[in-house]
Amino acid sequence: MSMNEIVKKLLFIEIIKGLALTLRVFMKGLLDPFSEKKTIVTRRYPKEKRPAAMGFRGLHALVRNPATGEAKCVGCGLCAAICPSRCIYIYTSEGTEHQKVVDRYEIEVLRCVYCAFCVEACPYGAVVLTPHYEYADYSREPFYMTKEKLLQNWDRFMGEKGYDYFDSFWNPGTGHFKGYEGQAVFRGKRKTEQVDEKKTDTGGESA
Amino acid sequence: MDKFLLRGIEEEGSAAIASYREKGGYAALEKALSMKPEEIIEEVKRSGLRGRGGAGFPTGMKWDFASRDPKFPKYLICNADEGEPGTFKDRPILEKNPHLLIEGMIISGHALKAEYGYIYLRGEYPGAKVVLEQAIEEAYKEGLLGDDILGKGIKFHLSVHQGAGAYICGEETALIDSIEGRRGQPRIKPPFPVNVGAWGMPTIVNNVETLSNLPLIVSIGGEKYAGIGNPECPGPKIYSVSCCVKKPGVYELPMGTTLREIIYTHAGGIRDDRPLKAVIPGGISTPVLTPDQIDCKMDFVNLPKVGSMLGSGAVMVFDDTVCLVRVCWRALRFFEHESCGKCVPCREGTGWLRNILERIENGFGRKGDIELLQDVAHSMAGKTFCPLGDGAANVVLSFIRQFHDEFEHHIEKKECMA
Amino acid sequence: MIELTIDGKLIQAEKGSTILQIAKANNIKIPHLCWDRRLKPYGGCRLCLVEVEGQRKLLAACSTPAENGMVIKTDTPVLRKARKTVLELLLVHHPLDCPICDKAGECDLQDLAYQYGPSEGRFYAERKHDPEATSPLIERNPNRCILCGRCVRVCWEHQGVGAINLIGRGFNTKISPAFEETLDCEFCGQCVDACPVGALGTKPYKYRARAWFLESTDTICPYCSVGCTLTLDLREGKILRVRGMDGVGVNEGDLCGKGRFGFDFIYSEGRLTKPLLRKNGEFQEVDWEEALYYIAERLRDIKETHGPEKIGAIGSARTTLEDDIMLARFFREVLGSDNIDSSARLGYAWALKGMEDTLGIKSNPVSLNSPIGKEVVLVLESDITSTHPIFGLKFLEAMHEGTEVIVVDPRKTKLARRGNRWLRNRPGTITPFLYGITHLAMKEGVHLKKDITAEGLDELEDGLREYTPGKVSELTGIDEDLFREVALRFINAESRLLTLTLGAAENQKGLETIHAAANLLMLLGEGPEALQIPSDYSNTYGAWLAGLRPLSGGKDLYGMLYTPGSLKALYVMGEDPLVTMPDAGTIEENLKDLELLIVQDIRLSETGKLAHVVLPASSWAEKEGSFINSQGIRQMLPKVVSTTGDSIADWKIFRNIARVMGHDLGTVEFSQLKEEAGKIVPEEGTRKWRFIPPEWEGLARTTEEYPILMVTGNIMQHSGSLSVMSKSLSHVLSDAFVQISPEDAGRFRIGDGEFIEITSPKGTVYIKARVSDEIPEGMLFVPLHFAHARVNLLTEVSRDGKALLTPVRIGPRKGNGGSPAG
Repeated sequence: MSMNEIVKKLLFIEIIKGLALTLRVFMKGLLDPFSEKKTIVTRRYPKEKRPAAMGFRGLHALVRNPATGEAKCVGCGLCAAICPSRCIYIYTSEGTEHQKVVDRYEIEVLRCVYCAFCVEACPYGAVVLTPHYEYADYSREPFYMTKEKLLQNWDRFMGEKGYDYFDSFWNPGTGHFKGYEGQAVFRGKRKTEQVDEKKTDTGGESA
Repeated sequence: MDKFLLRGIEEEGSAAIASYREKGGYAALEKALSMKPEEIIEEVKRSGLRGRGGAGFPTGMKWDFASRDPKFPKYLICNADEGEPGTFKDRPILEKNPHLLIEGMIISGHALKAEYGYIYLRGEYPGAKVVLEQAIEEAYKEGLLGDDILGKGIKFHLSVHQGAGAYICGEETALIDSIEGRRGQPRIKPPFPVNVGAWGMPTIVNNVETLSNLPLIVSIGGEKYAGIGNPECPGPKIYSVSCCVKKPGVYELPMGTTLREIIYTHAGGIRDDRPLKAVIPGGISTPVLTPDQIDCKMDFVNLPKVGSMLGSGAVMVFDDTVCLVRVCWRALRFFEHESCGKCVPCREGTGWLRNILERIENGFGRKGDIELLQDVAHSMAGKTFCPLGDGAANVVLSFIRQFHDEFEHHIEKKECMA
Repeated sequence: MIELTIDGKLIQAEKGSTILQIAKANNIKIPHLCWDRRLKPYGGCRLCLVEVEGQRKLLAACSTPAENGMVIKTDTPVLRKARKTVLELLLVHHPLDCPICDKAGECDLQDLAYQYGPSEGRFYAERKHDPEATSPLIERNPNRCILCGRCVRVCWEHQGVGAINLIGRGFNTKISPAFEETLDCEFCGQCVDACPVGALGTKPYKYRARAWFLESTDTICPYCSVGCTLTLDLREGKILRVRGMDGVGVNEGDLCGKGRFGFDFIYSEGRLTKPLLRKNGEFQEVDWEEALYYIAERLRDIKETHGPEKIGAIGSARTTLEDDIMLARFFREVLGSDNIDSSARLGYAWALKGMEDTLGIKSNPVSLNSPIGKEVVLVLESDITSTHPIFGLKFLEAMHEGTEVIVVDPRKTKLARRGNRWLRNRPGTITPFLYGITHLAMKEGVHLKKDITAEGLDELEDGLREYTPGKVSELTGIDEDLFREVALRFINAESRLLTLTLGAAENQKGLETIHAAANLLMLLGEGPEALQIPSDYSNTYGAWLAGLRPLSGGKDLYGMLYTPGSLKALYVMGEDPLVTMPDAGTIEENLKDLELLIVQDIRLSETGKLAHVVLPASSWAEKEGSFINSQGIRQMLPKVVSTTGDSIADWKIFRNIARVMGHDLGTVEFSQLKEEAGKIVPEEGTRKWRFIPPEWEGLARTTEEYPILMVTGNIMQHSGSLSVMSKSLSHVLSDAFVQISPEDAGRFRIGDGEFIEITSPKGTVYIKARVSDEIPEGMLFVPLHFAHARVNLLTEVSRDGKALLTPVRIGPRKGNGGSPAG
């Protein structure tokens, strides 16, 4: 123990510093109760809710594709494959136009460990954990999420900010996986315009 | 030197049998039929004749392999599918001197104990088909073909099979597939066609020019033949000269004539007396040469020393008005179109080389494109199923090696040097 | 043996094998996409390139034969670079739709791309957008195709069909049926298993599940007697698809369309879920207790009033061995009746009898690989590639290895088309054809070279005197010189094989054919292994061995079904005599006379509709058990899916009835039955050879009134009446048809696809005609699978096992006749 520390201990420097802070905060609240900068430490929780930070892992949702209004999910099953607690179930079938249709997308929320691996695994940014965390209930039923419920979750808890969430929070974001414009789509004939290289050539060999 | 392969082709009606006989035709056949098959093969070996199709494989050796195979029947196929840009050396023989080929094939058939011969004719030579069929008919009439040739008890039948316009069918195994009625795609070698060829039987595939040399070898003897031209690969050779020369055309010269002699003496020099820029010595798939290399002798031995190949002997001469990037691009367009699609590097690689060259030529080239071209070409060379892919890669590699500046100029200045 | 070094490992290998084969055998991984064990090397993908010391070029491991002393490296920077470029070039045009593609997770290209491929390509281009090509069972997505040609080669080289080929050249190459039409083939689906990427898939599985959602279980195919191992892929207890796994099972990974697509019969809507009891003429669903008590009571009654000999049972060729044992025990021990038989009586039993008469053997299991390595194989009026597809493939395989396959058949079957030689005989004349060869062998003195001790040679010689080549040619319609040539080829071959099928559904061969074939082989000094007769269905042979036949003088099938008044009660397990057995009219009358008809099946069959009680049984995948295939191998079936409705395994039903009847069969557990089934051994015979004199009764009985011969049989996509329940197989073929020659069609003014009227002395039916050059003039070919066609109303039953072709007359349907089966 150095000399300096012994002096500090004897003179109660640290305690005085702490009391000074308390006093400062106390005075601030007393003098200017309507200040913008007020630092309330205690939250009156059920009435006042703490906003969740970006990337908070709460209740699940399926992303709604703004263009079609349907779920973005194509049923690739990577989320179900990566899920450590095996709580995602996906059932697909062939649609009338020979496209892949996700009939059912179900999550057993009670088994989920909120690792968000599913969000990371998804190549389309189609599944997300919303900031919503208040969903206690009395039966198991409400915790079995169907596709419809998950889409509703998106509307209720994510909506517009959800798209921002994928763009700014996740890295690599979904945008990073985007192909270039000439990339084939699975189905349907694109206009056969001459597509010259749209993206700059990285050149060279990376090996 | 006297012309042999193209003797008298300028005359009207040179394709008729009477005209051929006037020139001493079918004399060699009579001599050959009195010889034993082994003797003819021995004579061919002694002559040092090498295949004129492009690879330059010693014909005698090939025949030896085939004749040692105990399986019968054997087939003799004449490869008349000359489809390579710049090559038109077989055409005068097929159209003007067909009996020389027929005589050569009968002699070969006798030597190899093959009883059936096919001429696999290029699909784009409809004229030659008429001529050949007529010539074969004449030969049948005169008893030169059939079950008992000239009363010697030797059997040989010959027919023309016209291809459907695929360059790849000039590759011998693809050619055999095509004759069998399949899709023309090269087969896995080994087994080689000399052991397992058409319908699983020993099959000898020789070029038109190779077979046309046979009457000469038989009539003057192998040793005398070996004295013509370069002793390492002797004989007369037809060079087809095209592009920027004053007198493009076919020239029968002894093997080993220098490139300079061919261009300046026989073909009359460069058009408008402009400076020479580049020469492709043996058809589009052979590496390009620069003006300082044209003193090279044109044969199977000397050209590889300067990094090229004799190929089919199709000399393509380019003067300074020619954009070599464009030449390279046109060559690749050909290879892309003719790739059979069997193996991945060739099917996809030729397309990519063409694509990149196209953008360089059109002024959209980027930095690094030359390296990319080289990289793709290296990944193709030696890794494709058949030589077509090698050829395509070699064109690109040699053009870049010899004319790197021109490519760079194209990319940087977005314009042509020429 | 040669010695070579691969990656520093000294390896000994057979001479003549390729580098890739040796590497595979030694667990050295060389990537490849276009190579397949069953096919000739192609060398197209260029991924299997390896470095060989002393070689300038890289060599393709798949097509380069290994040589002594080679030093090979399979993984060097140069090779990695080459492979990486190949994959990069492939991926430029391969759509990156892995999230949707059904192959993802088991895709060779995907795996290789992970291993070697670049995460970013240097080339950008428009990808292909060819539309998908759908067909009933096989879905082609040309965009994903990497043109490795495996499907094309498997179809032509291995399967002998050639339905698809590469079209176009270079980059524009496409894989397509001729003229880019819709795929119309036999739908074996071998191409789907061969495809390394997702370009080919099965329609029923399309978008159903991801590879990693599936659990795999191996089981045995319920259709024919080859006994192929099917790899079932299940998700949550439901079978989604069937695959063949390379090298697994007797089939070594090959499957036919029935095995691959026909599994869905267990999900058919027609499955019985509850016992049905006829009350006041109508079926009513009842519970098991009521049904069992009713059966117990009625059986006891009939046994007491009429005696046990008035109760009979017909077993099935498709139930498990354990079920069969239990049926036999129930009848013999509880009811005291020996009236037990199965459909084998109509076909395979005659084959066994024929072989016992001549070769003195009581069983002759086939060997699937028997055709391979033989000099000459003669296929006698049998469409083996349809009835036993995987056995049929072995004939093609043998042909590729140099065997001469000679097919004698009036129909242009696949083997007839692909075999080395095809002789078209008149239907039903295969017996005189064999007599002719035998006669020729005797005349040529072939038998004098062999030491023949079997009796009856003189009688045989006497009997065959008239079967000179000229006479045979006249009878069979085969050119005399051709016949002589083929006969001598067969007689003088170093090794030979005769093969035919003798199914319950076929009526052009019979006991006399087996005798004739055995005579010929014995004369040539060949043993029973040269005569290959496979049994019909998955457990035909097993049912025979398990005792589903009268063992102590009971009534056989003929006595039970075709003799009026012979029975008062009949128990039918898993069989539909009204559809699959000849002379259905007589059977129907006799069944209607019964006091009690119990039918135990997985669905309400035609026979079931006449029954007093119908019991729901579990299907093949819903119970444990075992099948004995035609090779005599007992193969176990696991329970894979849960039972449908209230159905229970057949053996349990018998156990329960016995309990209700108060009879103690001892403790009956599956393990016991399994043990009992394991003890079954085929009977040995005396092995004393005896020649049987010719007994052929002359050319089939066409008359002026009935000028055409009707031949019945099985077709490729169906097997018995079971496969009709499968939705997938019905997509290919769901309607009954009759094949008719173009000549006859012209003569009787019948157009393709029209309904025609077929009349035999027994009755009349109406079926759709298909004009086909597979059939010669004067013959009809009718598959028997379809219940609504009632073809068996026309046929007759042959009580002595001889071939009995049905003479018929045909004509366009008059007026609005309607289908009598209605």
